[in-house]
Amino acid sequence: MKVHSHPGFFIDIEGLDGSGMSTQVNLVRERLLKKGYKAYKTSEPTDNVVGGLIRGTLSGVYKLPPEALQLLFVADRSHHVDREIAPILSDGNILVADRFLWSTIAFGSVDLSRQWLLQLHRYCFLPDLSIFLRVSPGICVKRLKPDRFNFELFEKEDKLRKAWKTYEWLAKKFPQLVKIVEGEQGKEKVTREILRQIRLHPKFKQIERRKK
Amino acid sequence: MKIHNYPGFFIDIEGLDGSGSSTQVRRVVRALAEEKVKAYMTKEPSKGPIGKLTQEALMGQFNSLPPASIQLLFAADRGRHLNVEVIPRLEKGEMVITDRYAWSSVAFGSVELDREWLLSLNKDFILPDLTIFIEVSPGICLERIAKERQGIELFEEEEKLEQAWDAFHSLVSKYWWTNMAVVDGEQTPQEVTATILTHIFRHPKYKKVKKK
Repeated sequence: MKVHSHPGFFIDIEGLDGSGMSTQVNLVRERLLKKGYKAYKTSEPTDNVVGGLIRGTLSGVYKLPPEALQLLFVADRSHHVDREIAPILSDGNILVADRFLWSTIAFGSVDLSRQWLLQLHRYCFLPDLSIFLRVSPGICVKRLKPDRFNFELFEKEDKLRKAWKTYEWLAKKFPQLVKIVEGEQGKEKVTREILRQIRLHPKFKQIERRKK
Repeated sequence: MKIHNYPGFFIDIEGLDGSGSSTQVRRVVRALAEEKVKAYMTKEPSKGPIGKLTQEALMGQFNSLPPASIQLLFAADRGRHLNVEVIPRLEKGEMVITDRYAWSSVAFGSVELDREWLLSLNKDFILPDLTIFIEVSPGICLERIAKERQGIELFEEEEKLEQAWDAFHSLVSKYWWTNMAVVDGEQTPQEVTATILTHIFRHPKYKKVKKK
């Protein structure tokens, strides 16, 4: 498990549900596009065959034991990398992902071993830069309730707490790859901070050169 | 994999494609029924959507599912198979005979992927009480497959069979302590069944399930 070796810049934005992650992925991508970069976004589960099974399970329509669900996530991820992510990166583009492997480790760790979940990713590559948005689980749950109808499996507060602890563990384990950004500031401030981390990253300079 | 504590007797019948493992599972279950011993017959990939997806992937129906994805799917299917079909019966003290289990996916998968990784996918799954490996040379397997079946699965080319053959042997020599028996599959079907039954009758768990 190592960082990919394509010319593109792979950025992963992570956090608990209700942390504003999806919003930030859109804002960050828009800013990059405005500045003339070829920036794509992507998310998981995919809309492909394995992704469908995952969505069915998350919505409670299909029942799976926890390790089977996490194995599906990694199977979908492997397919996703092969079909979409690697081609975009090999063309030298910027790709912003709304969740990637860290989500599986964080949310999977509610029921399963962190080490085992990491091991599953042996054949998966790592993003160049991963941003973990820090928002307290209490605030996440409040943000979720008014807006969303379907309570998906992982949206209970104690589970969010456990997942966040794992995010912190991962940040300590992979300090070169992961930056924690305060998500409890205003939207604008969060976007600016994420963009700052992006600009500081060595990969960004390589992309910049290609733009000229 | 770990040793289970359930009262039931879990038997795994393994072999290369064309080794006659499916035929033998049926014959063994029938022979046991004649002894008034009830055995539940099952297989992997299992029935249900993940099993179907895995089976189709193995038959090359998806042109972009990478090998790691297929193995992860296989393991996810196993998780569900155990949860829904196998363990509930073992808990009741019943006999369960499966046509293929983890050893298959590890042997076939190790042609392209790391064996230790493949074993780690199955880390929390239960070990069979008895594994029967039906030994038939790859050349003969290929002949049998060509005669009987349409729709060639991915693993049916001779070179891949040779590699899987080596992988199975390596697993048997390393994991002999998990109760693995190698049976000569090049005898007549009747002789093969008789040999398998000998191993089953000899096993300490047989007396326990017979009482039922």
